[in-house]
Amino acid sequence: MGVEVIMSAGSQQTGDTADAAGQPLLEVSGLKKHFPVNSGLFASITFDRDADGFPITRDDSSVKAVDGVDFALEAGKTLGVVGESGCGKSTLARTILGLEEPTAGEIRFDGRPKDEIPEAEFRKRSQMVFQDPQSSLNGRRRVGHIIEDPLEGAGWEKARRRERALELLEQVGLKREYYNRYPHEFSGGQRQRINLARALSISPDLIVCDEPVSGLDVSIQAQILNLMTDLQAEYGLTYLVISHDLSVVRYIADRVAVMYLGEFVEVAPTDRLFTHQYHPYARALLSAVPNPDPDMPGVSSQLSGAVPSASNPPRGCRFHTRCPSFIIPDGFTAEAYDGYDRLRSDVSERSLDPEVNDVSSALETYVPELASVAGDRRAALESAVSEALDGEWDRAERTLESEQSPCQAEAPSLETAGDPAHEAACHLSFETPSDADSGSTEDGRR
Amino acid sequence: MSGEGVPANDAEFHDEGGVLETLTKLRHSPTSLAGLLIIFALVLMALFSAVDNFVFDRAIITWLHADPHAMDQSMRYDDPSWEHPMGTDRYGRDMLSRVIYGSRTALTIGIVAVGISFVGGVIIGAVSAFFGGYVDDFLMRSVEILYAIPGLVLAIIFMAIFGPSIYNLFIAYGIVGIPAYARVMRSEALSIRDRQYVEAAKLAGLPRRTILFREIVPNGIAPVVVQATLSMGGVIIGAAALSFLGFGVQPPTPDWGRMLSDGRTAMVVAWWVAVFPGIMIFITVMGFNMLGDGLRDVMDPKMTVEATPYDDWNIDEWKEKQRAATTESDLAPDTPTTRADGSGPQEGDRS
Repeated sequence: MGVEVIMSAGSQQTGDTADAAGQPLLEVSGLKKHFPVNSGLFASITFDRDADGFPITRDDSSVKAVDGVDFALEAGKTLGVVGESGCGKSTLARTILGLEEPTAGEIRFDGRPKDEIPEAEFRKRSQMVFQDPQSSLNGRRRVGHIIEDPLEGAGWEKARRRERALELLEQVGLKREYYNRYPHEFSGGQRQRINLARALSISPDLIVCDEPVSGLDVSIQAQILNLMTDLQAEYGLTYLVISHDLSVVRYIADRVAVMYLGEFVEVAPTDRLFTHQYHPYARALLSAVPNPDPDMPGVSSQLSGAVPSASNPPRGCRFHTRCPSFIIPDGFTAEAYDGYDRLRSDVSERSLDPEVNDVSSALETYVPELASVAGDRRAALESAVSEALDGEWDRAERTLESEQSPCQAEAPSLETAGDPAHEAACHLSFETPSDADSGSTEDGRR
Repeated sequence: MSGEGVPANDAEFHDEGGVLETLTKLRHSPTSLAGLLIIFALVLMALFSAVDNFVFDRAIITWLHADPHAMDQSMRYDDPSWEHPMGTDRYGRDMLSRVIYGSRTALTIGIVAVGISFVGGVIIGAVSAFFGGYVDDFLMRSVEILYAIPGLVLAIIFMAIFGPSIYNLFIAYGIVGIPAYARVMRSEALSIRDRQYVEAAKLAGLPRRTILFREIVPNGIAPVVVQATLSMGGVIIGAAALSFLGFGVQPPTPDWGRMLSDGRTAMVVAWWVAVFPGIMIFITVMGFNMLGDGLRDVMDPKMTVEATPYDDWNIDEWKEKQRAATTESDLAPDTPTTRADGSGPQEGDRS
């Protein structure tokens, strides 16, 4: 089971030395958002016939969408968050803006805790650009009125709102005459401009963009991104850009955070991250970007499988189940360690293979490569199996635990890697050359 | 600049599902057109009798045919004839005029009662979906209590408490109908609640009331409109049943349900007294149901109501053409060996 990890407080000190003047506009520390799997009193009650004692238990498991995220975002800068689908990027964005209540952690906006900022003021200073240009605009309302929404929420009077909306339509590259049109009369790119105009209307400080261009085709993406950077330069906007598209993030972000299963695994200035990656996941993610060079071989995915369930994340380092650079403890070969892992999971489930009846047959079943295992490791395996056969499951589990890889034992925390502004969370030594061909490390585990 | 000034092609966005757009699609459905025609005729009848009754004191219908309230004991239970095409009732009143006048009460009950249910159901459903939690539990459980009691019984109880009158009939049937609308609206609002434009409105800092009635309700109202047309027939029947039982419309106001009830006693000697109002109820209910069916088809994105060019499309012919096309072309079959460029699954992939 997951070891509770409190990320190092040091990760907040992300201050770029080059930009020491800017006070962080947004500070997030230890932010967690867990969604209960079963909501409501009755849905969470499960009937378990095999349980000892009372057969009804309460299922209070939860999906840990965001599980301990720290970062600081300076005014006028852009932080990009990248990661696979389902890693919690969007939940992070929604939690920061208050569409979801955080389970734990603190969000500080402009130096003040968000809870202490009045709702109305926070709404005036933060806005969001949504992913889907189709569903983020109400199809039954005129785009002018849609753009005016944040102004209406802030209590502007009608004539002023209209004036501002017309002005904004021009600013985002549309025409004033479009004020009275309906969203379905626009193309996807135009709708995303309307989306931007709505977010800009109240002149916020922070704009959170959740996949701002993923619903658009590539030429339109470039236009929207350019518009975003122009507006940033003009108004000093601060962006938090969520994306799964690395080229988008590379273009627009000053810093990039790589997210995996609810945690940041690597945070670095954009230029640096795209040349030096320390975390195997960041490396795999970046190597998956198609290379336009025709002489290079095609993209080969270094990762396989899906993101593990966020309701029951892997113990230790969350990435270890898919990591191509998994650390095999000394004395084990990759195959033998696979066998060890099978044995361990069976022991923790309290049921060995039914064909097993003594120590040697058990070792034969689980770890056929026993000969390659170093002496003391082998002894530990033997004693664990014999304890398990004696029914001393807890002791067997502890015996096996002492042999495990550091990747399974302990969750790594974000630590400075190579550069003061670069942080990664991995047990591998950060001296590892970042351009190493990790694909050759054939110890990848399932 | 993005295709500025180039209006987006309308055809791309036909899935918007607006109420007006849906209504225009109805022209492709003959059933609902027939239903609309029936309803239109009934509305004309009802309007005519309302104007005639309140403005001209039944002068027009008397001049045209006969006064629906005039009794003539000598004409008691007269057979249908040229003078009285639908015969006469127990008091010698002309059935045709009474049937025409009956449309007024039937339609008013339908429209007012359905209107009450519609507004009540939409508000309860939308509020309960939007706020969720205890509000949702409280509202929906109360509505389910209403649902648990048969509608007719509930209406009778209501009429017994507040006295039989046509206004109480409206209110009783309006309240009885609320649960069905509330459920439809709630399920719609539940899915709309999480749409991005609703979240955008929340982030804009708009009050919840505005979000509810400007973002959620207009986008979820379409199925409730279908529900309304479909239940209109039921309400008219229910009101007729109440009148039949003596709780609804009071004499001498002509009402189809009441006329059915009166005709029951003389079924053997004068079949026409019961049959013609029955036919009218049947036609009205059918008209509304046909319209409702059409509306439901039009709103189902999986159904095509327009005439399609696929009707004269022959699959065998198409297959033949495809076969000819594939044998002619010199395209190599798509096998893994042809993917030397590395696209597609590779053998070295980790599983």
